[in-house]
Amino acid sequence: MGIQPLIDELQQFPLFKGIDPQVLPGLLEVMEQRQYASGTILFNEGDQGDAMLLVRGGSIAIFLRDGDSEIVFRHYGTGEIVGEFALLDDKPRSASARAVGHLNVWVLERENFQNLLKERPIIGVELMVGIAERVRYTTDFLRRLHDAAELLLHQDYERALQEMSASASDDEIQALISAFLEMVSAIRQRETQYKRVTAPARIELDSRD
Amino acid sequence: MTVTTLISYIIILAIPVFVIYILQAVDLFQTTRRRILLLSLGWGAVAFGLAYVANNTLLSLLVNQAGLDRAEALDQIRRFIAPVVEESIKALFLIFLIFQPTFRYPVDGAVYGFCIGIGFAVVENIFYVNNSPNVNLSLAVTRSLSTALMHGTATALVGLGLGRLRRTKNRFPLFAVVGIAAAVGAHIVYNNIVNSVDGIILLLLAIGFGVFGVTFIAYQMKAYLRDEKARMAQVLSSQGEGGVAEGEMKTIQRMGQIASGLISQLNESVGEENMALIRKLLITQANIGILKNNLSSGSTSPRLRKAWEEEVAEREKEFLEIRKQLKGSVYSFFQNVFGSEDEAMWKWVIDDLAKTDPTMIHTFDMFMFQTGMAADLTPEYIEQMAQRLKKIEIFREVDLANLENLGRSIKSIEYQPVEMLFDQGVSGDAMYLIESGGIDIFSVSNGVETFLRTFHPGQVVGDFAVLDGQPRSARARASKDAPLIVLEMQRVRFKMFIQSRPQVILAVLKALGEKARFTTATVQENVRTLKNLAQGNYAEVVALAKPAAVSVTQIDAAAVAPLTPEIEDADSEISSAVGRQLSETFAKLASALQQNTPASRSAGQGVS
Repeated sequence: MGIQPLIDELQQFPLFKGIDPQVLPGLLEVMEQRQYASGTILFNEGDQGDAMLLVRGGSIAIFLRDGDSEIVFRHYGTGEIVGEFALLDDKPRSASARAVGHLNVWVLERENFQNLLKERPIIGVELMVGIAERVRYTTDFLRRLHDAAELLLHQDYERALQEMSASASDDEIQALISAFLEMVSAIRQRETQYKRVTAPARIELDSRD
Repeated sequence: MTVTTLISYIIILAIPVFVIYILQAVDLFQTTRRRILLLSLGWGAVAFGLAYVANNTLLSLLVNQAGLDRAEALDQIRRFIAPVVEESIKALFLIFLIFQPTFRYPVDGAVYGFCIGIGFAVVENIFYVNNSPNVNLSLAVTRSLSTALMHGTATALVGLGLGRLRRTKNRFPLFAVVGIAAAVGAHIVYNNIVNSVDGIILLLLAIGFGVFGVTFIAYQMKAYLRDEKARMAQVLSSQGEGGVAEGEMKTIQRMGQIASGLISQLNESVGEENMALIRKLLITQANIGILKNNLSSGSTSPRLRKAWEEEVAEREKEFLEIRKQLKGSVYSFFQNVFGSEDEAMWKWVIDDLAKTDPTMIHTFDMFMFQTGMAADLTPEYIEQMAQRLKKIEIFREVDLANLENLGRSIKSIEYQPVEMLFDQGVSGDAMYLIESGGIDIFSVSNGVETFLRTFHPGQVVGDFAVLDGQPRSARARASKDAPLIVLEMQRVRFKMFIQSRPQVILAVLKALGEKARFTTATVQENVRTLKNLAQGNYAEVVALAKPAAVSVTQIDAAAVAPLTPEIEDADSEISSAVGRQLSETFAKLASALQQNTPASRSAGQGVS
């Protein structure tokens, strides 16, 4: 089997989407492929975070232990990355992780990554571009959200919806957009109800702009 | 079969096995292939058969056509014609080999030639022992060894000459002629004395010939290395035209150009694995040279000087370590071709490596040295600039020595009022630190400018541009009241700087990663806020609204000398600001909505 399908797969991960595909074979060389049975604990809260996991099949549940009970707050599925920043800093894991279903991952250890960076710094430069773009993109959406919120303050529901009606390439941003749209429709519904019951109250306008 | 012949056969057959073993063990450049060694041996055996037929054909021609006496004709053939015929037939396979892509090195020709000669000698020796039933053991053995040595050395000389021919196509093939003449001459001498001298003397003569062959090969190697050096110098100099005193733009452009072929040329000479090591050596040596230039240039701060000195020491250690991994023969190749005493050669090598593999060479330092940009900076200026950079979030984790180095490339530029710094949509190529005056930001739509805001002295505009070069989201002009003075860091210089410094890349990645973590957390936080708003949990939204958070940068900025007001408007800071604004706005929205709820109006309190 050629290397191309693996490179194509790697490019599906948001972290590697924008980067020069020429550096990806080098990255593939230092990644390890691992399989875990469902239920395997991958790491615990407080562990030293020293590897990044790229989910290729199955999923990873991120949870916190609270006494005897567990609070699962997120699932990472195929094409998602767990602990991408563990490569860059040495902070402990902020939560625990468990395999859900038969889990197939690529593991990139920090040490391997840093050695690769020494041999081929260009990978780091490419990664830098990728992360910077993501920060920009996310910040841009947050700014749009802020503009939309200002419009809501002025009860301009239509323009607020317009501001936020876009599809995002990022799952988290997409979740933000849907949450916003749901919020607007819930508030509108409620406000109309109140209006029918009582006389409309004035919304305090933000006059500082 | 007598014991004598049996032992003779064993020895005769042991010779090629031994030779193959030795050749593989001492393989100079690990470029010879066992398969080709065996094919060469085989060709030697075939060549014997062909030469046998050719010699007999010539014999019958001489007897039948020229009317020579058979014994006399046989003697003539054995003494003069056979050496020429045999050497020619043996050489055929070599001629084929030197045109193969796997043939890299003239000495390879000698090695393959030696094998052909040995293959030839094996069959000839078997014939000899078979046809001389009464010969004693010592004569059989000495004669077999001598024949093998003579044939091997002779064909090795031919191989060496032909190998050289491949590289010197345009000149008179002197070495090829000398090699072939030596081979034929030695062969003729051998055939003339072989039956008239004692076995031991014959062996001594053959050994003498072998020593001559080895000496000749060694001399050839030296000549070859000299030629290689001249050739490399030519390859390199033809691209290094114009020297080093070129304009800045040209220098940068040239650094981006693609392969000159130096690396592929070297690959051909010593093989890929050795080349990888040689490249490391070249890169290390090049960086040592660049750092020494830095140290000699004078414009530096104490911290930066120390960092450079430490790196030189570290790289020198690294150089010795790589050298240890290189085989002696390859290292001597390296030394001969890239001798460090030849400065012009080194200039070309560094230039070439910078072009073909810019990621490992300190091109930034080279560029600074060549353009003399930092030549008259004071240590104080260098230190101050680093302190200012340190306050920008993306450089937070980078150590001061590196920031001092990077800061040397920053240029002060003056813009007249309303002059444009950059236009919306154009790829971002620089970051600006405002010294005095202001920068007005406009969004442009259908050719109409809408004023957005003004940046003031001490603030940073477009710091992400040096990282990703994304299109500018707005237009920037100098404010209209006064001239603008900015410190400009160009993306191209920043890239040059970091590409050979993994530790700086890692430091930037670390700060950037934290930024990404933060924006992701802000998104998640806002998803929660939106859900609370949707569910009418207004009180919770108000309660969770954060007061203006103290960002990490502000803490760091307080730790270093406050040269400028806090940098709040750099790209890297915008997300924190947006996060805070969002939190405030949603709190306002929540409290406004809260007042609208019937419960609030009747009870004067929010429900949760």
